[in-house]
Parts: sequence; C-alpha cells; structure tokens
Amino acid sequence: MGLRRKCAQGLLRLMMRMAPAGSQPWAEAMLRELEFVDGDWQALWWALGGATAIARSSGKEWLAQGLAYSRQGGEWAMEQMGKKAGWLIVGAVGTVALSLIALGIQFGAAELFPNLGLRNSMWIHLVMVLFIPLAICLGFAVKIWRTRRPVALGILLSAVLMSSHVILHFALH
Amino acid sequence: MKLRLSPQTLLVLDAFLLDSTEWKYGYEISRGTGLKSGTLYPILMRMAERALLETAWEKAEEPGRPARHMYRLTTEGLQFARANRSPSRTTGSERRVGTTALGEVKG
Repeated sequence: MGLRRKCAQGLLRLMMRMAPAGSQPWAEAMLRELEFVDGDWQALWWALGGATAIARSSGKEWLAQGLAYSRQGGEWAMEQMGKKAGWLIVGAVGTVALSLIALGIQFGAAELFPNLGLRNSMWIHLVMVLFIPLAICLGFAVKIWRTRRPVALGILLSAVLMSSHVILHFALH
Repeated sequence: MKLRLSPQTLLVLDAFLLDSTEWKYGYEISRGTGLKSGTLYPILMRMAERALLETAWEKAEEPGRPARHMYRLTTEGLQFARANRSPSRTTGSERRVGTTALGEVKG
C-alpha cells in the first residue's frame, strides 16, 4: 500500500473518530469505499473530499462541543487551582506556625531556666526556631511530595523565605 | 423536507433514478456523476436527513472485504425525484449520467 493511500486511510479514520455520532457512519462509509477507489492519488483526493464533507457537516456540533468543553474545563481548572492554592497556603502557614511554636518554647525555656542563657544565644535561637522546625517540615514535605504536592510546595516556599530572612540578617549585621 | 436542487443534486437524483430499486455505492455514484466525494456525500447526507434516501450496510460476502454503505431512494425520495425533474432536464441528465457511466468522466 502506497504512502498516499495510507495517508488517505489515516485521515478518514481520524475523521471517523472525531465526527459526532450522526456523521460517524458517513465517515466510515467513505473509509470503506476507499478500498474500491482506483489509484493512490484518487484515494487521497477521495479522503480529502470526504474529510471536508465530514468537517462541513460536523462544524456546528464541534463548535458547540468545544465551547461546552472549554467552559467546563475552565470551571474545573479554576476549582483545581483554588484547591491547590489552599493546600499551598496550608503548607506555608503550617511551617511558620511550627517555627512560632518553637520560638514560644525557646522563650518559655529561657524564662524557666534563666541560668542557661537561652535568650541571648543566637545559635540556640537558630537551631530551635529555624533548623529543627525546618528539618521536620522538609522531612514531611519529602514524604508527602507525591501525594500532596501543593502542601509540600507551601512548606518549601516558607523554608526558602525563612532561610532568606536568616541569610539577610547575617549579611546586614 | 425541502432539498436545494443544485445541478449536483439533480445529477445524484438522476443517478438514483436510472435504476431506482437497486442499492448503490458512494464510489459508484461518484464515478457515474463525476462528483467528488466532498460534493457527493453532503448531498447524500442531506437526502438521508430528509428521509429521501435509505441507507444500509452491505453484508460482506468475502472475508477481508469491507462491508460497504449502500444507498437507495425511499418511496418519498422517488416521488420527490420524479416531481423535481422536468422532461428536458431529465433527458439531458439521463444522457449525461449514461455517458459518465460508460467512463467518459473520470472517477
């Protein structure tokens, strides 16, 4: 079978799949008639004509389907984006909340045990408020990366922001 | 129920009227009338939509040979075709279809 005839068959098969239910038998009819068309060029012209006929008869229905799909798709995409943004915020806020809890524990411990000098130690502050909470959150982010990626991304976002804050602090002071 | 009677539609009606009881294939009509598939099939679709044309799938007699779609005028279609062909046009188009059937117009 020549390349032109293969192209003709492929084109009519594609039209058969794409055609709305009402036009499908016609596309199939043209495809089957292709077997009886003499010559590869004639077969190609037959398929091109057939594809045009199907496109003309299906145009309105395709347009209506396309509009309905894009409308539904748009709503669905918005809903999905909204959900993802919500989970991202949950991840980011959760990370910050954990750091704040750690900060509270550090202040509480400093009040309870003033002799340990917890309040004035920069390194203890960094370890308690940044390194430990971030290590916990990053470990959690790695664990949920496949199942809850937006939350993991929120955690990473917070981690980057908090680390940037520390780096800027050291750079400026 | 109206069907626009373009010269191409009349050619198709003529092809069916040559032997109104026989089932015809798309490529056969195309060769007989000299119409390309892009012109012929929309006419057939419109005729079928308006119940002027009956369609059926051929039962494949040989294995591996695709079953073909066949067309025949309905009783209504036959009446419509006869009513819409003037004697002069009938003579002319019959002659034309007759000659194309002999292969003077390429398929």
